[in-house]
Amino acid sequence: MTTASDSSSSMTKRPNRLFKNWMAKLASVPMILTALVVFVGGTAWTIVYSFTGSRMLPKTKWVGFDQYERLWDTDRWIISIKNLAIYGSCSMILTLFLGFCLAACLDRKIRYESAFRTIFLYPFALSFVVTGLVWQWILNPDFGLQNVVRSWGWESFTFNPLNDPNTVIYGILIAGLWQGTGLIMCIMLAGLRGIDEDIWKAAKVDGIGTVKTYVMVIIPMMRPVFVTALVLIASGIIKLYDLVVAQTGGGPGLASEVPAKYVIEYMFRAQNLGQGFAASTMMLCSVVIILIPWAYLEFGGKKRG
Amino acid sequence: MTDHLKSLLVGGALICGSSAHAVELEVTHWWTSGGEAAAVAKFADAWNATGNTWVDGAIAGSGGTARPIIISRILGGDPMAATQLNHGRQAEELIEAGLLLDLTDVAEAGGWADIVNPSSLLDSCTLDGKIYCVPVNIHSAQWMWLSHAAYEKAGVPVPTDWNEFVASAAKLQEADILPLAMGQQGWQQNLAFGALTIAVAGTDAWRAVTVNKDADVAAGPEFKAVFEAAANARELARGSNVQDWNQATNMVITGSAGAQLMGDWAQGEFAVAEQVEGTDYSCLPGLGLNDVLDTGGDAFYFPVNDDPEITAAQKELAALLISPEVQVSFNLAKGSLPVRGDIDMSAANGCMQKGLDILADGGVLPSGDQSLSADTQTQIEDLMAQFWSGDMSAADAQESYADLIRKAD
Amino acid sequence: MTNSVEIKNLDLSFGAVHVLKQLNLEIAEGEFLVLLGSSGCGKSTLLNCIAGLLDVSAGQIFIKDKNVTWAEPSERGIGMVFQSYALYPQMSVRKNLSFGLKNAKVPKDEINKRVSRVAEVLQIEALLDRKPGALSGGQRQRVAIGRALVRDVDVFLFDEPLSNLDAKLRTDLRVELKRLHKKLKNTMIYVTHDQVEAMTLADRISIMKNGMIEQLDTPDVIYSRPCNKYVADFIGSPAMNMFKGQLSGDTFHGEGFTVDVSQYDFDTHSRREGDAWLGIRPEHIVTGEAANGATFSCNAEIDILEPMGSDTLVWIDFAGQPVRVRTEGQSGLTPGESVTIGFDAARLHLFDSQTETRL
Repeated sequence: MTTASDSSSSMTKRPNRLFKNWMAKLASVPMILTALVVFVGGTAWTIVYSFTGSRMLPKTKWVGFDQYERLWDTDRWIISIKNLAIYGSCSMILTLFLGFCLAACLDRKIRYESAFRTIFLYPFALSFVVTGLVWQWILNPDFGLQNVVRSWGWESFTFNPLNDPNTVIYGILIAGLWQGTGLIMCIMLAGLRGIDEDIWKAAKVDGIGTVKTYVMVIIPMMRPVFVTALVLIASGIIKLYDLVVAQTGGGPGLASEVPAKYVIEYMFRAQNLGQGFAASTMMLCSVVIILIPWAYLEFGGKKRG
Repeated sequence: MTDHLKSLLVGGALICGSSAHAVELEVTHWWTSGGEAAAVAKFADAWNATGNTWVDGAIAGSGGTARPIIISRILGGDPMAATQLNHGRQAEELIEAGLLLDLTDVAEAGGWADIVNPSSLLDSCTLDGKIYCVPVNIHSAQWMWLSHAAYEKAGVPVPTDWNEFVASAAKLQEADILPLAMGQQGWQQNLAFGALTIAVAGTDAWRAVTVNKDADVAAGPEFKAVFEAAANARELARGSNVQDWNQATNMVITGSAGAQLMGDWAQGEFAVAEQVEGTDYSCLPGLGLNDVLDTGGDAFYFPVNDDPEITAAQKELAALLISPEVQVSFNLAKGSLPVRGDIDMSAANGCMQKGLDILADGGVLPSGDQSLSADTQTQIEDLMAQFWSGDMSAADAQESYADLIRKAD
Repeated sequence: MTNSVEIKNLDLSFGAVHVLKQLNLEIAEGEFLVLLGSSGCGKSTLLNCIAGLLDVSAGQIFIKDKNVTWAEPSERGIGMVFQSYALYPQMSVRKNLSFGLKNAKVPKDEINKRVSRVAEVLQIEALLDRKPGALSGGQRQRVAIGRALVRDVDVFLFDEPLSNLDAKLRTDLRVELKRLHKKLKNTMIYVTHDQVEAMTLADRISIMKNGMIEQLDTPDVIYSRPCNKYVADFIGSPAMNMFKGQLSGDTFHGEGFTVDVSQYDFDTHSRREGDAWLGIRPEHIVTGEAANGATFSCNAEIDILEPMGSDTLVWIDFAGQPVRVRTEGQSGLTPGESVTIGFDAARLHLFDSQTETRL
């Protein structure tokens, strides 16, 4: 008896968990390294050096919160934050709304659906630089939309958002929406296609109107799709830079400045790395502030329920 | 050793020797407008004539765009052989980090200390007694360029200084001509401000603030007058929808604007458009009020290289760029002033002669780049961008400016 | 007696495909009508047309004498239960039941009254505050039925409601549906492909094939007098045995056997000559002693036995084809054994070979 159990225990020794599935683990090592070194490491390094007085080259000359004090004292930074807030909130709401409406329209089994889908998705294939340039030309009062409409006879038509400091951010918003709505529309369309046909029938029999069905039945069912869309839109908002550079160069004056542009310009043109690091750390903070409540809602809630 | 073999060896040595000279040097710069391109071609031709090859690395966009690219290449370990930068503190940290070639031996061999005029140019290239760059031209920023066609249309005589210009502005506006053309970029607005400072406040006030960083003078009455003049200029420039400096110059060339405040590099644009000084356009150094010019300009720096052949070629290029013939051909094409005081510039046109005279008289000042760091310059440019495109009052702008000067390093 | 639902000359085409062809149907009040057929026969399509979820190409639909051919589903006075339940997943059961009523601006106490009444009838009171995700299949189906019930309408439509449930649950809910119908006495139109459901639940069955109604009769009639070979084949499990042969006068000549059909109840106008099919249900073939007294009997060899507990399915080789015979209980027979089988002419079904209609 003992010998049998001895031999069986030596044959069936529990495999070391570290080497279980080692090929998959090996394959994921590069990604883990990249994530740790580049993302986490780079971020930590930036935050640490934002407390130094680094100029063109990084130096370990500690200055405490000086960079941050200067940052929040700078008009250009305040304007950037304001612009990002306006652009961010408008972009988020409008992209979701327009994307969903377009998807709902396309979902109604219309003719030439794939042609429409292509047309709406096409701008997403363009880079932000091209988008910015194209919309700079369209919104140019002398050659663009304003001129065209005036040549049709409507002499007093004005549409010149890019040259007025108060409306330039909305000009950029138009370009951004044009570029990004297509992708959100496609995601929403995929989500809508996953809705059981019978739900529509049941709602029809119950006498619920189309709009009400969308709002009270369909959209709550599409929660994961909305979360995905939200994340995609948010990432596009934070990294807003090349669109501004191509479309307005930050102008007129400083009216269309955005945080990412502030970071790049102070890091390289002004050769003041410390300032740039402080600004990008603030950008990271804003993302974290939004992420934490969301993460709690998504993952914390599940533990309770 | 046979005769045959000897001649082979000698021939081989000669060939090797001559091919040792045929080095390719990549040179980066941001001279991309019509006039500027014609000028840098003169450098390229001279270098190619020595049997070597000039590999042109033009970067589009002005200095603000090109400098970060150049600096990141040098820092990133893929340096070019030679690069343009402006006189001043732009390369300070690179020199401190030992990334740029020491040219002291070339300078001593060429006797630069004696020929470079004004000596402040060479001082900007010097750190701890060693010379790291070769100045190639002098550009001054305090010029006003006026379009004769515009003034003819308005029926007003061409002004001879800033005050007359302001007085004539109303007539220009009646004739539907934009009085002052201004590109919507911070550095241009900063340049205009600098020109107004020297013209209205005088050189002592300017030196006090820009060189000595005296914040009290910046907040004082001399600068109050400057800011008010700037506010004036702002009104006269409203409606300029152009971005780049040469687009604004073009407005003056075509007569759709009356004047532009721009440095003497605008000269090249007028030359390419085949306009004649005195007939088609006028130039007023120091805005006609104060015969003073600042002496900014370009210098060539040479990033450190492992290859001794390339290093030797770099030194050869440095000596070539400052040689008399090259200085003449280049500066005539560019519209800038040569760094040497000992060459014949009689082929230069009226504007350049005015500049040369002022230079000879000693009415020069160091440029802003030479005194203020890139960080402070950027902050001042930001302030100018805000001021010029909005409705900020002259008093508020002055207060912010004084603050920046107080914090400048 | 007014008809609850009347369908006149209904035509429905999807492009070139003619799905419903000139359909006529009258359903009496309080009747439980089952639309039975295999997939693709058009039964769900017909139901959707009655509900108003599909637009008809031609014809008319009347519900309670009102022409509802072009009316919206919610205005037709119908309630519908779907195969996949189609409950609103983000709402509680109570909200699911009351959503439609609230939308129609029914007063709040009326809504509460109806919801509690329906919850009581279907025994889902304990589930009212749960979400559909927390319910079992059977519970969900009850809620779905409840959602139709709260509408206080006359006609209920069921689109294969039990198909998604397991076998035991299906039988339980089937009985409950029958009790519900007995209690409420509403008109119910029920679509299914399962003949057991059809036979047990229906007052009348409409067997459909290729968009047309093959036979519309009570279950008994459909079972005992199928009007054509298709219906005869469809109803009855195990299926009817079919034999090819010739009919001449009072005799049927099959392959290697003849049957005296003088006792067979022919239709008045049926001819008595020509090629025909003879059908006999497995449960109507008797063995052993009883076979000796039948109209037709012979010996045959047993091929396979399929014991099912309550009865046994005996496969025998006869007339050159496998024949199914159903015997009660445990038969005590063994494969290879020779057994006498027989059947009565009264239990026969004869079908014309060409038209496949009953003779």
